[in-house]
Amino acid sequence: MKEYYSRRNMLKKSALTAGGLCTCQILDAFAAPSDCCNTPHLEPGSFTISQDRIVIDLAKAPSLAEAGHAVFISQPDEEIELIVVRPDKDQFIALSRFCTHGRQVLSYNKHWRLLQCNSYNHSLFKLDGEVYKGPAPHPLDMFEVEKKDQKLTIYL
Amino acid sequence: MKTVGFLLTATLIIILLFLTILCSKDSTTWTNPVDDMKFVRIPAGMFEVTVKNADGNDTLSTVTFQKAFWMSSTEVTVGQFSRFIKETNYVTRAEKDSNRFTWESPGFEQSVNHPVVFVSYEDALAYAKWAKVDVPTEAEWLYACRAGTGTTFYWGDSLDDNYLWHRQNTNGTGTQVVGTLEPNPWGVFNMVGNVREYVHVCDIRYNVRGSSWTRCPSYLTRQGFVADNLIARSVEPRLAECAEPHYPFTRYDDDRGFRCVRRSE
Repeated sequence: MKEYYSRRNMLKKSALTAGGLCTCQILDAFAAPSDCCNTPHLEPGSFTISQDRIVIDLAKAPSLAEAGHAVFISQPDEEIELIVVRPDKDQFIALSRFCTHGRQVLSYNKHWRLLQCNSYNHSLFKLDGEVYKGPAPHPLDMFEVEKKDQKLTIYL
Repeated sequence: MKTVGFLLTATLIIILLFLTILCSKDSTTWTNPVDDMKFVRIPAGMFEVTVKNADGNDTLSTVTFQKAFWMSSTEVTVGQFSRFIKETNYVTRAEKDSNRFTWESPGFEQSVNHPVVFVSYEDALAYAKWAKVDVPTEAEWLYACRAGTGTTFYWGDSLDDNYLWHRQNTNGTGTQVVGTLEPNPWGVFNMVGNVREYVHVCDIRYNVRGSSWTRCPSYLTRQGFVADNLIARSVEPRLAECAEPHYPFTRYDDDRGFRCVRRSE
């Protein structure tokens, strides 16, 4: 978690120096709901990681509170790099957060219900991870998800 | 008699004034009778661009346009491209490839007034030939885009939603009708945003300029930093090298379109 905080602080610091429009958008990536360009990181303290699973306490995760939201879970030291999408009120999906073409991060496009690479070639993926459009050569890795009450479990 | 004479003179003056206004209008716009595309006059002049010199170093160079030329005020639309297809039975590269998406079905809704996409550079050249005009050179495009301004964009140095369509203000859902938002000082619309536009580079390659509706103003990359200068780079006054490896003329995408140029005063 320490790694996560330091990365976050570093990014916030860069954002403050960037100024204007950029500043707002970078900070949005941590605070506001996901949009077509930016995906927030899941709130620290709202999830736990064990050897084979991630458990998210949805009551502590406002960034996943509504249909159309998406969040990143990034723990590079543990090789965990996910995007968790809530396309509908009762549907949660977890996939790798990197485009298979160019390896840039993805954003969730709630209007199209597709995942889109942030890179210039902007490949699109369906919610089952399959390539919908663009040069991406492979589907995204998908992870099994189970929801019970306010707990969302992602099996790694 | 005097009154009649006065009235006749006054009428003549009014007619002359009207004709003067009409003529002055004609000197700044031209409509192509082939596709009804409206062109605006780009005045003669010069601008500075960065080019690579023989040693491979960046150097500033001046590009001079001795004569005025005409640039289409908007990108070529679906309606105009449709007319071209109907009259020529042309088959685009995407259609030849049996690509899932084509200019007619790009994967999102488009009216006849949206910019045509899923066209390749060779498709753009074929259209321009039919319309008896041309695809602009990179220098012509940059000169017309900058419109005599010295800022990063023709409206200033930072992104402004009054001028460009990008992924955030379109919600990432597709192109927008051409000629919307504010034009540049010479009356050219959407040189930045909406669709990337093909330009000639020498005679052996092309480039795409002007960013598009798919481009994020800024975003977090995998490395964690923010790439917020990509839209600015798409209008940077820098000429691509003839020797650079060129892309095949057959590529197409949902954010690539083009506009046309007419090289006569």
